[in-house]
Amino acid sequence: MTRPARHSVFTVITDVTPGKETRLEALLDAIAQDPDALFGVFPAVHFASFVLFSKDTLELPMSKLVLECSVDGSADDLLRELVRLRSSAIDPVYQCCDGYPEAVADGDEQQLRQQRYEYLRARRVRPQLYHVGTPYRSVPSIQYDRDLRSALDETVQRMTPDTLPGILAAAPTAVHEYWGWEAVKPWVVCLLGAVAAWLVPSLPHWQDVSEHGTRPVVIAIALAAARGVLALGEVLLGLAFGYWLWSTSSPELRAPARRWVAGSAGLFTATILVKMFLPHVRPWAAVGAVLLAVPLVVKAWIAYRRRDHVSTTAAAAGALLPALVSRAGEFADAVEAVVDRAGFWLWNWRWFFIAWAAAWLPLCRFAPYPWRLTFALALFYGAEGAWLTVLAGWPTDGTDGRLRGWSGRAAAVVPVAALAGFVVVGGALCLHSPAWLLAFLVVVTFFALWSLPVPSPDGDPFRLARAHLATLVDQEDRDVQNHMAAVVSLKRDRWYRPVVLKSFLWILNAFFFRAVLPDFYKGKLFGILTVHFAQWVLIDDHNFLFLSNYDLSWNTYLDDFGAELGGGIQKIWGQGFHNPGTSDLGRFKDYARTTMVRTSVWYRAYPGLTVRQTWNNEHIRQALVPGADEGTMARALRRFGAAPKTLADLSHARID
Amino acid sequence: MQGLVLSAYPHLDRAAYLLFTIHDRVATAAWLKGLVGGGHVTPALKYRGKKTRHNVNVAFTAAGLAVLCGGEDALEEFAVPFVEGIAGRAHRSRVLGDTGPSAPDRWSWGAPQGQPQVHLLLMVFAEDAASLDAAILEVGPPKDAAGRISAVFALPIAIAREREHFGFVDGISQPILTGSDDAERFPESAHLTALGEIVCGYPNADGAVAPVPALRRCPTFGLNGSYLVFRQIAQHVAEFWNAVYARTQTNGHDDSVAAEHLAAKIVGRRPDGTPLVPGANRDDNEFGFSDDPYGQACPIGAHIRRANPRDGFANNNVPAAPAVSLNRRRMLRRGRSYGTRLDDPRADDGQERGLCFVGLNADIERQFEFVMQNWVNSSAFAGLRQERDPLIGDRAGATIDGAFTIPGAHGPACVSGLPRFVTVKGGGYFFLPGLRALQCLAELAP
Repeated sequence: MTRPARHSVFTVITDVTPGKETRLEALLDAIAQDPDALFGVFPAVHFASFVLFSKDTLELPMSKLVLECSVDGSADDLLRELVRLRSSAIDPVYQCCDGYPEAVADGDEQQLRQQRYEYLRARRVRPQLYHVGTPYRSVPSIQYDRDLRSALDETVQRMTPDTLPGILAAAPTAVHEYWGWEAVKPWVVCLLGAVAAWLVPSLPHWQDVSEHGTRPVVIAIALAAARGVLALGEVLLGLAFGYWLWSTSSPELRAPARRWVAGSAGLFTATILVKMFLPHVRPWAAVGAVLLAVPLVVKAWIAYRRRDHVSTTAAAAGALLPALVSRAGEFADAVEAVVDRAGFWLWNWRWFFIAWAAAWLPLCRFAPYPWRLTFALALFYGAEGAWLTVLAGWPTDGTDGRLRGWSGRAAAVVPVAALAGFVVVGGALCLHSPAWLLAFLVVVTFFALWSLPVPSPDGDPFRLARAHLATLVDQEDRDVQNHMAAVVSLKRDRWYRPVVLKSFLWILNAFFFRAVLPDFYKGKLFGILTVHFAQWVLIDDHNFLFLSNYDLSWNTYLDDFGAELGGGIQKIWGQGFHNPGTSDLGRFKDYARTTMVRTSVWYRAYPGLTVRQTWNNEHIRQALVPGADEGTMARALRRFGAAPKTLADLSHARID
Repeated sequence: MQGLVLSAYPHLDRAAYLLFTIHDRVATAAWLKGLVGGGHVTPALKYRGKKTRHNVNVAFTAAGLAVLCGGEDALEEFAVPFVEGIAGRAHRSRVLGDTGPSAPDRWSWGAPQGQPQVHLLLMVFAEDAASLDAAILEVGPPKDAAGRISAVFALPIAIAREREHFGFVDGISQPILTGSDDAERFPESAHLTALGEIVCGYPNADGAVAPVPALRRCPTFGLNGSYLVFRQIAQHVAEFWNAVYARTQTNGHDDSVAAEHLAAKIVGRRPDGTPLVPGANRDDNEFGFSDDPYGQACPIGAHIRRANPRDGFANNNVPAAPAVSLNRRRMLRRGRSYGTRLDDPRADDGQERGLCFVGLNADIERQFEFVMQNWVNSSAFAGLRQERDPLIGDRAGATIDGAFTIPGAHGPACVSGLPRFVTVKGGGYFFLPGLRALQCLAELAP
């Protein structure tokens, strides 16, 4: 429990043998009486559920039984253990499903178990997109923090820096190892980043132009002009960004650090300019430029602190590039295989960014001019676009009019400039290679598809049956935690809908939910800190599942989403039949209810605990270490009254 | 629009809340016709600025509307909570905290089973006891039309003097409706609330006009109407003060200063209405909680902070949106206390006393139920843990032991084992139609 945990979020989707649905329902209802009996023995399981998606009520070819799991460690381990330890409970359930290996007389027990494990494993589906509200946290650590917090409740009134060591002496030693990991984690990551930045080869410089005397003059002039425009764009971009940061920040946040960030962005662009137009500047400038990319990280961090999800029209220009490098599924599998072996450091997707940069920079080095320059610029725009997406949020459908006022427009300038730059660079690349032309077209097509108007036409009404609503509602709000299971049928009007949705979910997952959100968003799903685990799974080309373990009421959950990222979820949910769009949230809620299915069995490892409380408890544990000073203790003690409004606000909220 | 929307009639000392079940649809419709035609129902416009001798307002449950429509209307257009009724579902009772002693099957009226169905709520307000009785006789439905289920008589305003039974000034915070005189006087108020949040058929906080509920033969029935939540809530005054005194004893002796301090922490205001936020005075109601983010003055879990968190969820980094687009959970409260005053607040006299909660809103689920579920009865409100509203919150649940955390500069204090100081005795979801809708309703019967 001392090691930061890696989570596996997955489903096992099996076809139910026709005619056995009723029996299956009865079996599941029996399990639902005491889900702990089935899942309680696995200390790795955070949340688990069985949901029966019936073909009678949904547009599915066959009824599906979905086992949803959010666990620590590997999915295979859990399935193996499930078959080994709980076969008496799950065998009857899966015997209602197609093709579950039957026991034969005198059969080899070991072999049967292996077959059944392989049956489940073959039907294991990895979600295209999933969210973890408690990154790095294992079940025991969450439970431990909860118990520690409860224990401290007793002593909190006599807690002072003097008495603290005594009070904590009773704590198990495991917690101290935990502290060690917490402290070292960010530094190791920074170190890796610095090393990678140091190792990368230099960017190309203007001298290379002379190697290309044979180029037709017209193209050379055009390219030079394009570069000039780009350079100018870069300067404007840096200035606009700096102004935007400044103008939209609240006064108390206008710290020198912020000015430094805006300034360094300008410096970054200046370095590129120097590189382009001054032939004798040696590669050191380029190395400096790469090192200066670090401010982009800081920018993202500050934007996160501001939680200002400004709607923008264009977003992850370069973020798409790696999608072309490898096919999504194979890539994820390969990564998982490596991760299983390499353990903690590799599972964090930050290495992916570093690897990405490292892959591009050699290309810059070995490719002939002017590919080098264009590669380098593409890399720059890629990074810029990726971070801009983090800063500005995903493009919305524009119906909520979030682009308000001067700051909104200033903010839009940045990604638009980045997108324009990408288009120009892409165009320049296309001049050189048909393969690049193809790749570029694919990218543009994806963007074009994402921007399709997604809400359904009006002639597609739906009706929320009150009886259906009643069955859903009756199982909700027995606790602060709730479960939501939904299946959305995709519109079949365009063949590319599933492709678009898959690519969108995969990119979102790879870049943000895995790489950025765990550390920058600290368990928030785009600003919302009420979701423990959620996953989006495409089960075939026509349906996707949405499974979520969330806190508080369903209405609050949907309200939060509608307010925070109406346009973003519309990119996903809007692909479904009957979707009315999120502009009228009441209507969207009715629609969401029609897609929902009753949860048959639901297991929670820590009922009664909200995501926010898990973070709060963690902060208390981290702050209350022997030797804590008065200030740290005061901050920790405040958390006993309640967490401040948002955890991230703690450091700059007024402290009296 | 009925007058209650714009005023609680503070000049009328007495009030009675009368609940009826309809025996005879035609006779009731005839009575209603007379009531509306005779100008007995107080309209908002007529009331404005006038000192009337008595005022009358009338509201219907879904069952009541169905009866008056002759059962021909499925009330499809009405909000689900209204149609299902306040006690219609286990889930609703759960989220409203109507469990245990407050469970609907233990109510004195309005239970879904074993009690006559509530159809009609008649609210009569008058200057004194005699004119109240006279008014009830004059405007009440005849016995053969509708039978009276229950009558709750309010504590006279002259005795209540704005205080509810626990001894605290109540009803201070009310939304200020856009377009009202107050909205013109206080255009910067944090309580500015879109008219459509309370009255159907007007732009709400989002600037949208939600569809008004319609009856099949009255397509604009819902226009100028409002959903009315009525709850009879008994308050256990002696239990409250005894619990507070028991937790503040010093050396085995009562400490009235400390007791009042704890009571104020529970409510979030001092008895005279002064909010516990830093720098606020008695008459200040534009305060927010952003100056007290850790609840060291007004505890995070205090009653007023839960019932209306004001700017407590605001993000420091984002400029606040105008009040009118933030106030989407507010209700107009038009209730009054009922029962007699307890002379010695620590000695129970066995009498029932409490509050007739009357809340007006345009969306029961988004407003009243949301507040009850996610704020008052949430055991995870604003990061708190295993505690609900210390005053009125439900105590059901294995891990809820009536705890209440009082943050302080030197760490929090925690009191525990606080019982629930109120018991719900009855309740219903009503619709308070506009005047024209009442007329239409009266003419539905043959």
